[in-house]
Formats: sequence, structure tokens, C-alpha cells
Amino acid sequence: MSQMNDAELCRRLNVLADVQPSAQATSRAMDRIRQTLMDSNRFVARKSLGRIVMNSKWAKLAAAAVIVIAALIGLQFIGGSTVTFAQVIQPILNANTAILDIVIGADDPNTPVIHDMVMGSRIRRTMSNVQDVVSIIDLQSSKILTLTETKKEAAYIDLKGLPSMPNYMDQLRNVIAQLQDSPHFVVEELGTRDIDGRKAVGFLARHPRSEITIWADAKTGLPIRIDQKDGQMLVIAKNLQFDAPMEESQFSMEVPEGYKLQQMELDLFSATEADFVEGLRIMAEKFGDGQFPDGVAVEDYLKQVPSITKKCEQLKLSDEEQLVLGKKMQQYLLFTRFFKGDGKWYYRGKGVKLGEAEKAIFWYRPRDSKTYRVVYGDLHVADVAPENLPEPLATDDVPPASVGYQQWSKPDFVGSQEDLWRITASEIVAQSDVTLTKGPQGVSVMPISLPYTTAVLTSVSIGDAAVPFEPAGAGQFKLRLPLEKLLAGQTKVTCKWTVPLADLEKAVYGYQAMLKALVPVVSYKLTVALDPDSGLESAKDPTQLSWVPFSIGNPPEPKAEFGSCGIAVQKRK
Amino acid sequence: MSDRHTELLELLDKFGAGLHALLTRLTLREDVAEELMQELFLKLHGTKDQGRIECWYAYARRTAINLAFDWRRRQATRRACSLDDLSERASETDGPLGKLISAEELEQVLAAVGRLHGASREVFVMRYIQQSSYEEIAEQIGKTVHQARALCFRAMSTLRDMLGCDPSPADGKEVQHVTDE
Repeated sequence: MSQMNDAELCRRLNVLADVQPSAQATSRAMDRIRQTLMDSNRFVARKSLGRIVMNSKWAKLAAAAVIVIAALIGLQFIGGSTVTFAQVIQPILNANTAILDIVIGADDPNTPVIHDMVMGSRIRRTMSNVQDVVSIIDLQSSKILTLTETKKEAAYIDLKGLPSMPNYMDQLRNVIAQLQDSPHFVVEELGTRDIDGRKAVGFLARHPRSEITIWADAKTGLPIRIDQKDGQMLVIAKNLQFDAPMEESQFSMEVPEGYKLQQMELDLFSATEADFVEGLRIMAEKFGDGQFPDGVAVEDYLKQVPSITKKCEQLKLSDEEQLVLGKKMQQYLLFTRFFKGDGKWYYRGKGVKLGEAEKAIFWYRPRDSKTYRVVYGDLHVADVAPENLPEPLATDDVPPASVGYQQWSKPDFVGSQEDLWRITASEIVAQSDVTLTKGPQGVSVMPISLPYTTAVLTSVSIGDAAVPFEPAGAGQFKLRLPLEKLLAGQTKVTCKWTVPLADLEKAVYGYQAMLKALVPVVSYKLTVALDPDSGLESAKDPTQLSWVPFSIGNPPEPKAEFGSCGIAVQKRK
Repeated sequence: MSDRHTELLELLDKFGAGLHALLTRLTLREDVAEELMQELFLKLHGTKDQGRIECWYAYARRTAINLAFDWRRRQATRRACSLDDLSERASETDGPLGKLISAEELEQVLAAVGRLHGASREVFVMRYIQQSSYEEIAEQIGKTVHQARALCFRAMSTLRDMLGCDPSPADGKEVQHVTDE
């Protein structure tokens, strides 16, 4: 560090304090912001974020044959801590280079570590348990160059199916560009803990399909560990460094002189059930001494790579045979890694020998199928109904609803409501249909308030299923919702209730109705219908038996109270 | 227009010029300051209500400082000139070389300021770059004047250590405005 005295420091600070932008620069900067605020109801966030994305040199999307990390991050700022989520993700957004270690599954000493260096559109990847092999992943050309240095062997792998597969850093940028408008992303603060001897603050960002936890240095705000749940795979990124200087030569896609070259192709989404079953057979026959592997997830395979490599050498396969075997193992891995079924897959093959026909070792539900495909120990496959599976499904194995209910971090249930009030001679017999769209995470008890304290809830149902409820005060009730039905797409809750007609406020034209939804809603509609025996008719049109006195949609924010409206009725003449 | 937009316009009218000047001082680039202003108001738009406009300003200033030093950190690896090579007072010529040397002198100080953390950095910027009074700083950060003074003193001490400052001035006289009263 250079030496200077106090006077010099003072001088420089005074010079700094005297720095002034030109009046034109200030005016231009302020006008630009003012114009943006005046021109639209929302700040044009996409433009700024889009600029960050578009200026990036990172190519579209890629995947190594082994790992793809995808992350979806929420940008909703919670605040309340010195280090904010927005600060934490800035290095990720703006980095042009990165170094990181990746661990799949458990972060323990036995788990192999993937070491990535990232520059521009390329990743240089090595693995701790596979010596002398370096892979260069080129996202722009969708190619991988794998070099085995001791054997002087090289392979080019053409990757197919890439555009929908983001690489780690680019996915983050692309997703963040969309987050400003999305209600699906929520960030929660996790407090502080020690990570590798450093005090770290944590943020959990959720999306219906994914979850990411970022731990950042509490002092600098730089991310030091990122945990991502991607389907059934947990990916941990750690030892993160951003914008470290790197040599371009380390990312060369040129095959070094003297290397023997092979060409391969890999379609990331081409794996079929048959590929997976064939892979299971190879794992048992060739590498497992007749026994299925302990696991079929990527992290299980990574642990087995050294022993598989050794056994391959013992097999003394020809080059052609090695190529065929390699292709089969890739397809086997791809089946679970880029799983195309619904919900989870289940593997129970540990300890099972090839040929044990009665033992189910793997099952999954193909997309949109009502039954499961079950693979048995002799590798025959059968269709099985969910109730006949070897074990119950995992409690979190529920396919997400394509439209409708999502859980969030706020305490409120939110939906939309349509009411039908049937007016009889003495009471209102009402049916409120509430279509829920949001609910607190893990909460199944929903409080509701009827429009009148003297109203009585008579039944609650979702579809044909009754929903238990209990009183919680005058006109208030607690409903015990079946979360699994909501998450499966059955989101309409039907509440039937009654209130004496005399409890409505009388008006000259008829009655004044309280407009109050059972929960905060984004739309509310009231239809009234006159019971033929009510002795009443519409004051506006006596021939009309039902009409809509009130409806509202898209209030600025969900609300439950909408004031009141008149129900114009008179005694039938 | 939403309440949020009205608040942001009010903030812009009242404190926009000051925020832009702050960003310019911390980045030494007008074009970067303009971009960071946009980014700043983007963040403000997405954040929760801060209440009074003065609270908005405190939050905006803190965010602006963070944005500027994040930008500086990203640029650090791209700067060609080694700051450690500069140890003598720059020439006071107004020529291009003089301006270049002068800019690098300021970069050296800003680089050191960037290594201060959190509240230290914020109060240092407020006191020595924005030249706010202790009373103003105390009000902005919600501390007493005494506490604000102590924070500024500690921040300056830390900066001196980083820069290897010889506490005695060149001419042997105490420099009053650097040693906090």
C-alpha cells in the first residue's frame, strides 16, 4: 500500500468532495427517471434488467453431461437487514467470470466435488474423483470437449436440446429479468449462521418449481454458498469467486496435438424408459456384480465413477464397445436427471439382485398418466395404479396445479368469489364460491368472515368432499382445508350460509346488502335470485327473477370489504 | 399515478441532484452515475414503503453508495494502472497527464473507502465526501451526534490504516480538518 500523510489524504478527500457532475448530466439523469415514471404506471424494470442480460456475453443455455444447475430467484425485497437480497445477487448478475465448486446431494467429505471455472460462454470443469479429465463446455456452440490427459484422448460431444436448458449464471440473469412482475417469487430472510468460519446471512427464494438458498458474507454481501433444489436433486455451489482473472487458453476448444479424437452426440431430453432400464441392467451386470446400484441419482453415479472406470478397464472393451457403453450410460443418467414424468421418481433397488422379479426397484408416473410404471428386479415393467404401489407416495409428491392455488410466505388466503343469494320470504340462503389462488405455506386452517354476524354457516365443500369447519366468533368460522386437493387443482371452496332477511338494512327501494367476501379477493360478484315463494319481485323489472347488483374485478390489492349495494325489491303486487 | 410514483417523483425533485452528485463522486464517471441513478430508482420502486420522504432519502443514499461501490468492485480487475505505483503528490498541471494522475489519486482513496464496511463506509462518505455535518449524519442514521462523531473517527482511522497514512503532516503541523474535533 502506498504511503501518504494526513494532509495528502485530506487534500484528496477535498478534491473528491468538490467533484460535481455537469448541470446537463444531472438534468439528463433526472429527466430520464422522471420520464419513465410519468410514462408508465410501473417502472420499466425489464428494460434495465434486460440491458444487463442482453449485454452479457453468456450464450443461451447448456448442460454438461453430468450437471445442470437451474435457479429461480425472487426479487421481492423484504428488507430489514444490512445485507439485502438485492445486494447479494448483484455479483451474480454482473459477473463476467466465476469460479465455484459444486457438490451434488450431501456436502460431506465423501461426495465428489465438481470444480468449475466460468468465462464468457465457456465452463472449464474438473472433478475431484476423476483425475486427468478436463471438460470444456461451450455454451455458444452447444459442445463439450473432454480431454483425458494421461491417455491423450479427446471427445467432442454435441449437445442437443439445449435452448431450454440454462447454464448456471445465465439462468439467473434470464429469470431475474422476469421477476419484477411475478407474484410467484418470494424471498425470505433466514437470519445468520456460520459458513466455513464466516458469519453469513441467508435468503431463501422460492418458486413453485424450485427453491434456492443463498448464504452471503454478512460483511461484504458477497454470496459464499448457494443451495438449489432442482427436482429431486440438491445442488450446492460454494467457494464462489466472481470476476477472478482467467486465461483464455484454459477454455480452448481445440484438441491438443497428439490426442485421439472421438465424436459423440448427446440429446439431453432423448432418454426413454427403455434407456433407463438398459442402464440398470448394465449397472447390475457389468459394474455391480449382479446387484443394482445403491442409488440412481446423478450424485450416486458420481460417487461410482472411479469404480466404474476401473471395471471398464478390466472389461478390455474395444473403442467401439466403449463408445456404445458410454452412450448407454449417458442415456441412463439423463432419464432421471432430466426427468419428464409427473411428480417424483422412486428408487428402491439397493441390495436387490438382478433377477428378483417380485421386488419393485423403481417407479414413476409418466406425464398425464393415471398409473405408475414400475420396474422390477428382473427388469420387467408394469403399469400399476397408485393405490397398489409398493409404498405410499411422499407427502410432498403432488404435481403442481397448472392454474390456481400456490402457497406463499404471507399470512393471507386470497382468491376470487362469486355469491348467489337466494331470497326467500324470511331469509337469505346464500352460496359463496371462493376460488382460492394463494394461501400461507403449510397452513390448512382458513378463517372466514360471513357478511353478517348473525349469519350461520351450514356447509362447506370442495367438489363432492365436505370440508370440516368450526365457529370462531360471531359470523366467523375456521375451515380445515384439504391442502392436497388445493395443490392438485381443486381450488373452489363452496360455502353455504343463511341470514335472516330482517337482519339486512331496510331501505326505501328494498334492502341494503353488505358486500363482504369471506377472504381477501381479487374479484367479487353478487347475484341475487328471488325464491318463487318469497312474495317479492324486482322493483326495476318484475319479470326478472335474478340479477347482478354488484361485481368488481382487479382492485389495486386483494380486499374483503366492498361497502354495500342496494337490492331493489318490493312486495309482489 | 400510484402513490409510489408520486413518492419517487418527490424524492427525485428534492434529493435527485444530490444523489446524482454522490454517484458521480463515487464513480468519477457521469455516464455511470446516470446508469446507477436508473438502477437506484428501479430498486426504490421495488422496495417496501419507507414512510417519510426523509427516510426514503436515507435509504436511497445508502443504496446509492452500495451501487457505486459494487460497480467499483467490478471495475477493479479491469483497471490497468497499478495504484500502488502512485505514492507522491500529483502534479498540479491541468494537462491530460495531470488529470490522469489526479483521477488515479482519487481512485486510490475510493478503493480504500470501498473496503470499509456497512455503516463505517456510509458515515465516511457522508462526512468526508458529501461533507455533511455531524448533526445531519446523526439524524440520517438515527444516532446521537456523539455516536456519529465516534463512527466517523473510527472510519477515518481505519482508512488511514488501509492507506498506510503517516499521521504527521508533511510540514509537521496538525491538520485540524482531518483529525476530527
